[in-house]
Amino acid sequence: MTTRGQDIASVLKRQIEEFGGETSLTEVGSVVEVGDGIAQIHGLSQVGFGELLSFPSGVVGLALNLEEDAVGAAIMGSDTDVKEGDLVKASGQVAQIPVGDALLGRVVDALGNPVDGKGPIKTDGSREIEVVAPNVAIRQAVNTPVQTGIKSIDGMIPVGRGQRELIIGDRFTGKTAIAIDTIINQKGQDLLCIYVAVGQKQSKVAQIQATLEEHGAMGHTVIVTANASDPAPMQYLAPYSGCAIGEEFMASGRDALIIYDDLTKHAWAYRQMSLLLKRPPGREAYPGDVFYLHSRLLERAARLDKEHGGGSLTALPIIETQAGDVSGYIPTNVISITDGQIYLEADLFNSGIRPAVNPGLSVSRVGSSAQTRAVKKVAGRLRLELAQYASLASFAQFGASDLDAVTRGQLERGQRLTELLKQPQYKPNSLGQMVASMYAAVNGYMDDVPVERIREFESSLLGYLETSKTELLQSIEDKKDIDESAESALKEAIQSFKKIFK
Amino acid sequence: MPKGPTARRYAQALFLLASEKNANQEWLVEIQELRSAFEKKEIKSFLSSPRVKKQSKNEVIDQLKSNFDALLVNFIGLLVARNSVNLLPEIEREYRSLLDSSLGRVSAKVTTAVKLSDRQVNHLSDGLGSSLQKEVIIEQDIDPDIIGGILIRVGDKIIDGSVHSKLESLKLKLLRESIV
Repeated sequence: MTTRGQDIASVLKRQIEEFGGETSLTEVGSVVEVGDGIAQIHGLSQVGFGELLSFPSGVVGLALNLEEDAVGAAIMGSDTDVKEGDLVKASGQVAQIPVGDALLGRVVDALGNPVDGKGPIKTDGSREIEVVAPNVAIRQAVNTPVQTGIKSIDGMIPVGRGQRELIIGDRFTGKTAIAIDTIINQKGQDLLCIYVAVGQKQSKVAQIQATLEEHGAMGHTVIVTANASDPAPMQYLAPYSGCAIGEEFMASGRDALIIYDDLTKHAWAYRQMSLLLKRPPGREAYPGDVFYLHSRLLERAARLDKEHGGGSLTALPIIETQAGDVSGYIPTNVISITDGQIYLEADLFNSGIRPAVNPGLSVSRVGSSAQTRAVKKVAGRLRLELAQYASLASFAQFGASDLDAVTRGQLERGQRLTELLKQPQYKPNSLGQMVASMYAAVNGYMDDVPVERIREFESSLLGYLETSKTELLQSIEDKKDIDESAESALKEAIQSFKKIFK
Repeated sequence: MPKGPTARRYAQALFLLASEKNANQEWLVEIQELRSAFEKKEIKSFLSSPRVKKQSKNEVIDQLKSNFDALLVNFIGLLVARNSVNLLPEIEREYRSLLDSSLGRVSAKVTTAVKLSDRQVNHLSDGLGSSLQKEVIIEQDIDPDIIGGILIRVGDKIIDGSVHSKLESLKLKLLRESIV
């Protein structure tokens, strides 16, 4: 105990020695009006846009409206401690957040303060929360895949590192589940994850943290959270804060993945702030710059070229639609900004197709160039066959008896593929597993298996390959390609497995 | 509606008129007197009451003409007609700052724990004046709560050298810093 006492004493001694050092010139103003998380401040004539302000209660504010006589500031914390007449000091800095590897495994709020009760975060680095996106000259094309571990996504809608792929769907269609599975699949890989929860229930965030911990995925993950009970300015800032944390990983030459869950609530928070700041309302009462709100955020996802470290930041924004309406204001905005979308449908979800990805409406604009050769070889036909199946299925429901053999074959194949793409939650597939089961399906090895037994067939096949052909899956994973020898070995393995599968 | 911009426009108009007459300084004194007179409750309620007829209000205002500049009296009449007499304190403040900036001077509020000597005040105004490139008018304020040191406020800027705020910042720093 004495050593600890001495430590404390020495820190205090140093602090007291430094006491009374500098006297600086500070810009001040006084609070004229406060309410709903917004303060009107008289004075502060030299304050900059986006500058941090400090209130006497220790709460910080963000100068957002600079007017002739007053400054409108968003209060980042409790507004009940801010009183009329309070002296507000300008900090001379724009909002910053601590960044670095120390944040991995932690849960922080929009200002980088830990909220998981695991003590202070020791990190030297910090980055500005609002920065301009990397310009064209320092970017390169997307060429490496993000392995989500979800067959329907990696097979049909591949996401590349540095891409922005929207996950869109109604409530309870498994949007967050896709994000969480993707994070879990990065365990032991080189992709760091950031999960930004905006306007979510605290219980849901706690549940996600627990799930990630349970699957050992918190070690490569940072959670940034601004819950439904947090003030709107915190919810507004959280995605940018998370992005700054991701940019630090990108700047250090690593790959990072950021999930914004969800941007609908982010737009709501910004609408609330804007209306309270008396900015003119536009369509659906959103302010005029609500498009820029999301475009400047998503533009920060990038893949840097070699001279700049070659790091990347992939963004997976989530949008919640109302009754499948993708033509709403915020959904259309975000669809137009992103490089494609994964469209989840409530009908599919309820009929047991989970993940409920709609293969017709989902696209990835740049991901196919990032797909590994192995997946490309087996999944190229997957999408086509499923599309043909979808058009035939609606036609064939009036009576399958009169159909010719080719059509019936396509229908049978389609049913089996649909069945194969069903995947339980928290069970992401490795690249080798995915390639093996898709190879079996698109090459007709499952055509004689009853539809109800497809999933059983798949899991037994994978079990068989893992136990008796370990090196085969490993070689596919290492080469990320199926060359002729691997293909014939796989063919042989599937055939010998089919003999024992009853 | 904030009163600031409205009062500023009135003050600017007044200041222009005063400049034409070369009576900037004198008018400030008169505005001060008028403001303090109109702060009296009876006068205020008389002038702003809708029950009193305009004519009788004007008669009262006209009586001011013997003591004040005619244009200023007109101005008061205008304020009464527009029901904005309550802007007068703001107008006075804005007028003063216009006058100060036209003369190249600023007023600084200096807060100390004990009264400063005249020599100290002169020294302070010289020092501030040379750093701000302006003539500085010092307004003294004594507040034992700041314990020691000095707190200077010029417009929207504050130079905080008080012992109180240093102790506060030390407190925050000690609370924030993690030990070990």
